[in-house]
Amino acid sequence: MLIQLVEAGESPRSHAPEGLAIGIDLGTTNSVVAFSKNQQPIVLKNSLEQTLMPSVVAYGEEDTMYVGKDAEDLIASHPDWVITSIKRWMGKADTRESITRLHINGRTKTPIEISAEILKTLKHQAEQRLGHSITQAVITVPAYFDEAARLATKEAARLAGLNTLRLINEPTAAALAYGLDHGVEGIYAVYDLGGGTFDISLLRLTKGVFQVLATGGDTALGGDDIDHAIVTHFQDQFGPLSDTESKQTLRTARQIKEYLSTHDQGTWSIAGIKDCAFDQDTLTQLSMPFVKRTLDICRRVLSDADFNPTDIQGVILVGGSTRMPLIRQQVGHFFEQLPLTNLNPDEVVALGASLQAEALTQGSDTLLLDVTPLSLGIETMGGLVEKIIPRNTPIPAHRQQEFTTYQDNQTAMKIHVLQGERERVEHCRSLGEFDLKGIPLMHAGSARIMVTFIIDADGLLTVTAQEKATGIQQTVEVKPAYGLSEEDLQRILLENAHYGAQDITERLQIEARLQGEHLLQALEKAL
Amino acid sequence: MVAASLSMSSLNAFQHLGIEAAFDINLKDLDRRYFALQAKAHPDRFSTHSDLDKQASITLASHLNQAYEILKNPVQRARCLLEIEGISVLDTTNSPEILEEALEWQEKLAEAKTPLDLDTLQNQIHKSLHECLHTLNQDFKEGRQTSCQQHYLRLVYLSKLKDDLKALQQPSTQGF
Repeated sequence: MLIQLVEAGESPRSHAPEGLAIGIDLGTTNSVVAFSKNQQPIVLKNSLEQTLMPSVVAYGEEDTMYVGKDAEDLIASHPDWVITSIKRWMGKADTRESITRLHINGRTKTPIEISAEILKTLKHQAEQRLGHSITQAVITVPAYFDEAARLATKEAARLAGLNTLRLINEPTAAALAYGLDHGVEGIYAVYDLGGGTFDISLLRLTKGVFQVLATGGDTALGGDDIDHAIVTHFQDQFGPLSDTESKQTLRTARQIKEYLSTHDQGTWSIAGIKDCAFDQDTLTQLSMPFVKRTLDICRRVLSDADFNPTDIQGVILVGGSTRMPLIRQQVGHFFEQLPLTNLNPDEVVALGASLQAEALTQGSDTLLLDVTPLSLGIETMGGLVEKIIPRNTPIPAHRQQEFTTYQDNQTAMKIHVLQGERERVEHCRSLGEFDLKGIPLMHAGSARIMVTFIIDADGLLTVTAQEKATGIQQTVEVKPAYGLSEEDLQRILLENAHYGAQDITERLQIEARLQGEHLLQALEKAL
Repeated sequence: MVAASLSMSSLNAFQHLGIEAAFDINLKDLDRRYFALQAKAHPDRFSTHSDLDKQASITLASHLNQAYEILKNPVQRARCLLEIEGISVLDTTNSPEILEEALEWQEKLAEAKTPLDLDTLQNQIHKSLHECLHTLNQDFKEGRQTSCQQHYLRLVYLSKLKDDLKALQQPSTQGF
């Protein structure tokens, strides 16, 4: 049966050509939505012809809410209404049992709900542009996102009314957009420094195959860190700033960084208090520690894949932060070559996501082979972690491991699943603990329990266990502490119900407009 | 809780990828074969199909991935061949000669201090690995079982040595 499947000629094609899907880059600082047809991806702009939507949400008086540019504009007047960089909170938990909740202007929101607002706005923007209702998307995540952050992203999409066809890694999406455009072959490095996350992936590109060889990163390292360093620099000069002043200065810091990408120096008003000159040298000094951290990670990933910097055919720069001259220069120095900058670092990830969305719904000749960024293991004696699936294993992946009981008549067994590279349990991320129950009464060591770990193409894990003597099977979902609980989901869906009516009206309007256009076309033909 | 064994499907890695079982496989052919099969089996080809198809695709694609990982790596490939040919894997404690060799290498590694020492050692390990792979290949071809067992063991410790050395040459990986 296996051989038949393999030898069966044509690759399966989609049966639903009407199932349009968009690609979304849900970024820390900005988000972008794109759509691809006939492998020609384009960014879908908003009504003001802007391609980047600030990933900013603001909760105003009464029930008002602002997303994107409108929310960002409120930072100056109402900094306490505004939430920025929500992506940094995805998959984070206060304790092992409860998901993080943010308190903003009298409201309590989870990072998933806030991200869902951004996704909803992008979905709406795409529908306006395409004149079609959209329910499916490929969403990008940092390659180094862990299980919890990936799940959180998928849940945010669900809340926004989007079915996630696939989560793909940001550097992989960028490589896809770049490679298809330039028809390149060889080993490429994608250096992706966004607002809040850093990824480095090494890919081999061969005739339409995009094979990730190794990946690494830090989900708490990005351009934001440089902004904060600039704010701290001003605080050292002017003394402490109030919360409001800090938020405003943070915005100025971003402007300084962006301005100095093309100029040597400038003068800025800091929190409306003082005018201050700032130059390239100061920026370099403040940024260097973060750039060094990214290069250390690059070094490790090259070593993982057994490559030297000179083996790399090209270095693709992704993420707004790579516009900084310092980063271009340092990355170029590290890889001993000029990085490729002939694509827009802000848009390339969304474009790649839309290409993948088209491939998944309409069929494709290209092939994306990705890896799992973090090792997966289980707790063994003495609080140590035994690795079951090492990092950089191609996904989907599955491994089986047999366990046995260590006491007579033992009927249950605890399995603790962890993610991370460190040796000790407390240094890895706990994905969940579960009990295998109903083991038949047997002598110690005679039960044979086969545990299967499966990582799917989204990088998400499921675990199943089977007692081999009796055939008792248990499927265990590894999804406890960090996602939304079912009650949370229920509550949010109910809260959103009254927005539903509005959405339906909009959809009807779009459909009516389309019908009108068809009618006009028919008339033109007839005339 | 005791981890007893790691087992997989009833097909071996060569069978999964439809490659003739041998030690000196052509790595370019391996890639071509793997890519061609994944182009049909990968879940990306089934995203609009039924859940059952999706599950089957995940299983098939993950078997292909694992088979590819095994065949790409000389140590795992040798191990797979030994299993296919029913040759048992020796224990170092039963091979004092090889154990002694391995210990000598470990001593060299412990004594290497400067980057230059490490580089010299790296070259020596590289040379020995190369020789070992060559001999093991001949052993497999000519069906010399005992020699296969010994050179496999040599290959295992030399590869481990290579990894240990690499870790020494790396900056600290704390925080990953």
